[in-house]
Amino acid sequence: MLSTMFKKTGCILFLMLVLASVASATVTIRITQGVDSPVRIAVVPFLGNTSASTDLAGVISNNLSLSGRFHPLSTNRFPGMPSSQQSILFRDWRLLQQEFIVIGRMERLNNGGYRATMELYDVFTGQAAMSPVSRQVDSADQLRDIAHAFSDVIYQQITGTRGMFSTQLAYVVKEGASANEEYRIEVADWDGARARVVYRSEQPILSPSWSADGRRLAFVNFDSQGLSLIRELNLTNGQVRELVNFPGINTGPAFSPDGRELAFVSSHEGSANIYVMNLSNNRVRALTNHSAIDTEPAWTADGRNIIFTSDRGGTPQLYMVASNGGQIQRLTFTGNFNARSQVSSDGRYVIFVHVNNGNFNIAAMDLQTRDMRILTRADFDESPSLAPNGSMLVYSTRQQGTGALAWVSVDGLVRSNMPSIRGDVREPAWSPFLSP
Amino acid sequence: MKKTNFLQMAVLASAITLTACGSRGAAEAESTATEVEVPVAPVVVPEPAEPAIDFAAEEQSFLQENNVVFFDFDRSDIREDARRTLAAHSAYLVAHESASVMLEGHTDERGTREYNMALGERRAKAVESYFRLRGVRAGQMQTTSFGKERLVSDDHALNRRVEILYLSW
Repeated sequence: MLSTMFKKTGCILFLMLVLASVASATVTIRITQGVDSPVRIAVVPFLGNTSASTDLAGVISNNLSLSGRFHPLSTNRFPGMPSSQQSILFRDWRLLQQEFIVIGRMERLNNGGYRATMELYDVFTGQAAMSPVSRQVDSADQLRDIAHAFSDVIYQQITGTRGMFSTQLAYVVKEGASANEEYRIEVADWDGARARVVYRSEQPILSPSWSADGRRLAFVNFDSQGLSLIRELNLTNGQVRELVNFPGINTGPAFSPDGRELAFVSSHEGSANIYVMNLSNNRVRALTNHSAIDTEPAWTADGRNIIFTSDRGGTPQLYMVASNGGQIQRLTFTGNFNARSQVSSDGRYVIFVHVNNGNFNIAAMDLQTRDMRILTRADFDESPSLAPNGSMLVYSTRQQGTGALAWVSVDGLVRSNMPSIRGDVREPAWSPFLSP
Repeated sequence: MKKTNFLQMAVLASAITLTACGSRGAAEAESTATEVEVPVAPVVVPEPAEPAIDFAAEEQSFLQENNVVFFDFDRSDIREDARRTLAAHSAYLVAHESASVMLEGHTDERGTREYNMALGERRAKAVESYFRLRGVRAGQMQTTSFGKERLVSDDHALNRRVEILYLSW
């Protein structure tokens, strides 16, 4: 089983290399919609799951499929609906070229809660790929938590990478026009389900940014006089407080990975520069001091550096500076517009918005080799935000004239639109891992 | 110098108004006199209900109707076609110390939201320094930016703008 995995990974890596070299040569790239050999897996509906509102197997299948690393078998091709090892006829699933099969059971508890158990089998060997996993919740609306937790376990077991299915997305929805605008921040499951409104405003909202512990969101809002300020929402109790409100613009909040500091943009000393505020004593230090635009600060995962956008060289490009100040280094040299960056948690690559033939697309650049590849191909792709496991990212795009969200894998091979969120959606921010 | 112009205009305006009222009033007084033959002391004629020319209001509405200047793509330098509008506003602000404005910068939809916030701000600041050079006091101006959050047109060129909004006259 591991050897097939390595073969697949090797194949994907080879593809990536080919694509990367194409990208650096011509800065155009052909993107195939999907990985050539995703893991073939069958997720059988859980026994006892018929009455509940959430179809656990359906959510798990959808999760795995959206990740791009799996190709779940559609239920109408299932040769049976086994719910225990004894009832799995492995030969039938082998004939369907399945590599793994997931079975499970769900039961209603006396206190109104639910308990579910999942088992994962290697179809080729007919052996359990791991011990059965059980989870319990208090109410039906938490059943998706179980489905996401099981998806994480499957993903980790098969790919070796931690799953991101139990994480959340924050994003901004705009509704109405001119005099009757409403902006709100919503938080949803990573797949866009279970969306809930956490903040409303009649004024524009930009750049929601998660704290490292996933409990707070910093964002840009405007007051009734039309001035921008940075606010912080406590997701646990709903309280909102003002974090930064200098004269001029206040934008681009970004919590440091250790949660102690907030990087932001302010123009109170003239032009837009990058500042860092210590959140325990509110002391502010300037990180840049330039008459050009410096904006969109993004921390590296170790908290040592900040990557930002500046037009000090004539066009907007990415630069890096140590978070305690120092020399500024230019990172991007390809194209006339590279902005709004985020660094992967392993520090190996940076994702950003890149203008390619007049289109705004999401690109990724290897920080060592400086090889860049373009991941998306619509005309207005924006606000990329990485999943905490670095496997894929969410971004905003435009569909039928309105804002929508989409995902793309960091190799650019798998792209899907998020259908479940309605309205003019923008500024997605992927949460950190929310459980230890 | 601009200040003197405005004072002169104001004086001139009131003079015209007074003269107009005075002559009409005198004619009326004359006709009354011939009928009743009572000597009448010079009358202070009330201001007419419809002031023909209210320069302050005229000017304010002119400024409100001409309160947008436009910019080139990714640029924040003042364009030649913006100078007349800006001259009218700076003259008014110099002449009226109590007047104050919000300079609100905007961009077109191209570019990231955060970068455009800074670009809109830079445009607002460009108008602010233009006004400063013409003698407008710093305390009369505030700047802000909506970046690309408040588009007004499908035409990129009409979105790249600074709006001059009066907070007080």
